[in-house]
Amino acid sequence: MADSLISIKGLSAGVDGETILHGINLNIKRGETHVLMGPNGAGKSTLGNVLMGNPVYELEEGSILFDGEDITHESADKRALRGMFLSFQNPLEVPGLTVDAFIRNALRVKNGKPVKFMQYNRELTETMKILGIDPSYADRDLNVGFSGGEKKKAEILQLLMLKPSFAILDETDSGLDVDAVKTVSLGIKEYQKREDGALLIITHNAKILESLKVDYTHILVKGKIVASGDASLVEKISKEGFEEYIA
Amino acid sequence: MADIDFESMEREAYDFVDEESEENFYRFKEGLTEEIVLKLSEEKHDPEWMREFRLKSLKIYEELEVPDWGPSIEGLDMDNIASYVRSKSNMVDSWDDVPEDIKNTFEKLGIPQAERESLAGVGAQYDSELVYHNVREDVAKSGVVYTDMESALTGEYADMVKEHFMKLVPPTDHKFAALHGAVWSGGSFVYVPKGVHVDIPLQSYFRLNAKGAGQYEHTLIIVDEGADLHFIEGCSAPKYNVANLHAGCVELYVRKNAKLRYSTIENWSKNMYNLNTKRAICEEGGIIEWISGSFGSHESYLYPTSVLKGDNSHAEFTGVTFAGKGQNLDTGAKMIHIGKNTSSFIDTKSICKSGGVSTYRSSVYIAKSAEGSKASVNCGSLMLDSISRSDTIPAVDIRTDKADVGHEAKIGRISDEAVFYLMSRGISESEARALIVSGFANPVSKELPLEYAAEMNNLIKLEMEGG
Amino acid sequence: MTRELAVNHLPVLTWNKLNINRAKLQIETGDGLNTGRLNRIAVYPEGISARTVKSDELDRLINELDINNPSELVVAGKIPMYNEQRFATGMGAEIDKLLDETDIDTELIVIDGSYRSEEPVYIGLTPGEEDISLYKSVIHAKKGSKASLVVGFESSSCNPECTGIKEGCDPTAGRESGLAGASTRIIIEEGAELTVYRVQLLNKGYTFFDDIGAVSDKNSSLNIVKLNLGAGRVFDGLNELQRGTESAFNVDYGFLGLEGSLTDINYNDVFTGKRTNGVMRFFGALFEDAQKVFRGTLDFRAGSVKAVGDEQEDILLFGEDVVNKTIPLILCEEEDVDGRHAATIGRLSEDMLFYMQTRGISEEDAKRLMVKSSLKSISRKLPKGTLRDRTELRIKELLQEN
Repeated sequence: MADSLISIKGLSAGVDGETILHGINLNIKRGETHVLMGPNGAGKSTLGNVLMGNPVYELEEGSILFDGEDITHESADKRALRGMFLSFQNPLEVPGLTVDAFIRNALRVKNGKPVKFMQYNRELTETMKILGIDPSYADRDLNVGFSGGEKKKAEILQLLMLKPSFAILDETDSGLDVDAVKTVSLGIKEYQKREDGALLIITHNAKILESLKVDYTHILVKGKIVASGDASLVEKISKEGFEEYIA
Repeated sequence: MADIDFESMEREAYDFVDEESEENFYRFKEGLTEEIVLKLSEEKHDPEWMREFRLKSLKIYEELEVPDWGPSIEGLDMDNIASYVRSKSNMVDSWDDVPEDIKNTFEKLGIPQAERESLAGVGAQYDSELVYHNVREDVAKSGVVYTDMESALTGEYADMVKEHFMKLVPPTDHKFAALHGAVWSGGSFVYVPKGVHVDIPLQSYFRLNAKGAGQYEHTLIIVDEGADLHFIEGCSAPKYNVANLHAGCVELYVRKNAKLRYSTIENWSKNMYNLNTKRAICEEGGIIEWISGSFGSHESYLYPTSVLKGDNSHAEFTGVTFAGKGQNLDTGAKMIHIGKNTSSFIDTKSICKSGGVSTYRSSVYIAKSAEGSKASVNCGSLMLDSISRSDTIPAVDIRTDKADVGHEAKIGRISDEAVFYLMSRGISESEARALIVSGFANPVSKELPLEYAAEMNNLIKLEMEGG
Repeated sequence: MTRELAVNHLPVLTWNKLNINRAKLQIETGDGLNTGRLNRIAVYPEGISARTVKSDELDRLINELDINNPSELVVAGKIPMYNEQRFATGMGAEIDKLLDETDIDTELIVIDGSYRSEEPVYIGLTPGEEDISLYKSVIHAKKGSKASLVVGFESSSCNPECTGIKEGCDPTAGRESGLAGASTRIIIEEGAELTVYRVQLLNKGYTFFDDIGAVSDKNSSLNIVKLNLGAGRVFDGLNELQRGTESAFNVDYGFLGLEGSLTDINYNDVFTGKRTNGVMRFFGALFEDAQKVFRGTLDFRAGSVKAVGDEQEDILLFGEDVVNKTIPLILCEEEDVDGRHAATIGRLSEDMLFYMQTRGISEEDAKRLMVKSSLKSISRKLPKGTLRDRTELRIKELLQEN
């Protein structure tokens, strides 16, 4: 327990007075990849947002520990500086701020010192190549005019550049075609390879998980984790669906 | 073949005329002079300070200019307005004792029935004076005071009234506040003691039945610390072909952690100049909620104001305005943030049709002291034809960088797709349009008690069919 | 002597107590009006001509093109002064009167129908020796033409086409203070496309006004890209009449309000043509005790069937003593239109703030980042060149200081 990177205890949360999550318990260790699956409306995205501290959601009960420290009431930027990351389903558009400037700015804040220009540039170029992102995108405004797939790739690019120790990937595969899912999956694999980080992948599609190492799978229904298992649970779900878990 | 005035027929439910016989009614001659004000004061047995207050207000009235920014009120000639008309009988607390003709009027409006079914107390004003006042026994026992203003002025709460009367809306505020100060008559005084929650609403109903007259009722409500009240105000008048004037004044004091909801369904007849002033002040943690439906009047100037003086106080204004043929309704709200972490929400819907003019006008002011305050304004307008007019005039003035203000305004029409969709389900076009308009006004009607929401939807239906 | 002009009238009056119905432009006149013309540096390509014209010739042109766009005030029984304008501007008749009192000529810039180019045409305007420097022009974009005019207001008489920064040309040289103002009428004929960039980098001591009236015909488009990054007192008005079917009008406006500054804006988009489209976006940041008044109006007149108007204002606040006034109007007498206005003042949207925070950026930093990126997204619309470089340098300098 003590070596859990993220530890969620009895977490209940909701929005506009309506409780969505009911007493979630979850521990994730460094280097582990957890998958959270569940039918629409189960509260998967809510969990991702609450973990990251989205003020839209109201925390009703429970606590969140990161690296042994209570972060339940910290703002999102503090959590990010601790090494947490959330990839958005619908990343926001920021006209006038380039992808390059944004990542450099975030790195500078995170490391508390200016980034080393040469090293950073090389890494950015390489990472963009892995993700099949055209180099010109570095100078484009963040997410402005990006297609759905490009936005998701830009999120994975940030994941790889910012090197968080715990990343939540919220439906990173939704709305993508087969090729884009492959690329995103490749990016996540690269993260697993490079960092000794922990991952929580929120999805309702097994496709993205095919080539990834998965340690645990959790099934979320109506705001409760109703089943947990290893990677084989993913396969079971993709064959049989969630019927068994929906009472 | 005689022309059928469809619109008048449909409005009959509110516009019916009950002629006032001279022998049963006492009426001042038209016009506004010092002599008339003094006579009124004498008639009402004012305390000395009130008599002086009236005279001072009259002076201010004479000095102030008619506003240069709103609908034209050129059709209003004070020389043709009688400022005081009352029935020769006295106020009673049983409907059986109300004179037959007046009782009939209120029966037609459904007031006694509503009282039996869903209200904690009722005050009914007919022209310049209350004719009926009653409050449920259990509510009275909890210490709630609900009485007519005249009794309050001399009774047990005289000091409290003196302390608050026209302090929130001083006669210097604008010309018609001054007019009100000079000739006010009738209205209600409510005091809810500390911690008392009145579970069902109190209601005042104002009926201006006299022709060419003014109604200037004063409503003063004090909700003490931690108390909770819902107050409902209804207004109507028959239609005459001469101008009537309503220049009421509402002052609401919401003390620490108290809550007041003030709902109004205004359905004055379409010869009415409605120049009404309503204002609330909230102390720490206090909540004021305004629900406002404006359907009647020839012209309206109506902008309920919330002064958020105490820290963490909160105001909401939800309003719908429907301007039909011959109407120019200038309505909205004002929010004044002074305390820290105060918040306000304005949500309004304007509808105009058959040449009606509907103007949404508001101002949100956030003082330097109001750090951490939030305000949001959301106004929607629906144009139902191209002979009408709809304007949106929302001002925002912010004096601190620690504020968060959002504003959104939209104007548009009923979408053909929506009408088609409903028609494809077997609903007639006119019904479909009425349904869509009711849906548009839903944010207001859903906040009203059921029977008032039904009344409001009925008014929308009438407006949609008429003209 | 101080003279006071009533300008930037709100098209519909509201409560006088709000002090928002109009602005007062104060002019120090000394013993008399010491006025001169703004020095104008421009090289017009073939197809664009400029010449000085007298008022009777302008009247003839306005008659010929049947321009009749008096500003309308919707209050009964009151006829305000600015109704005297036949070709309305945003600031109103008192600016016309001021210019009429001087002997400053009007420059008529004609863009021929055969001229179709995106190549920027630079017009540099710099104040002269006088306390008051004014400029009056009429831009006439003829049927089917296409052009981009880049107008720079700077304190020194640096050629806008010069390589500025590198050659040590100092755009901040010249007078520290004074009044600089321009009055511009824009006529866009059928099918013409015109983009007007206006960048104001005057020294802080300046009072600057920019008064524009425009009329758009069928299938035309007018884009205004504007940055106010200099003068401490700015009065800015524009009145656009979209009378032609399917005419388009677009505004991208950015400004910085610094210590002691006043920015007073009045932009009106009047729709009379069918299926017209107007989009106005304003972005600004206020620091210290900066004051700002923003009036923005979408005015749908009868007959503007299927017109679409959209107005957005985003303001970020950074000073304890800021004064930020906003009054966005929607006036409508046509059923079949679609109008929208939105404003956010003070803070970033919750979504944006959370997104920034998840990448480790604090609220304050995110706000500053947004100021920079928002202004940059406007400056980047300027054609590449030294004026754009100077503009971006100015943004950087101003934000570093604050």
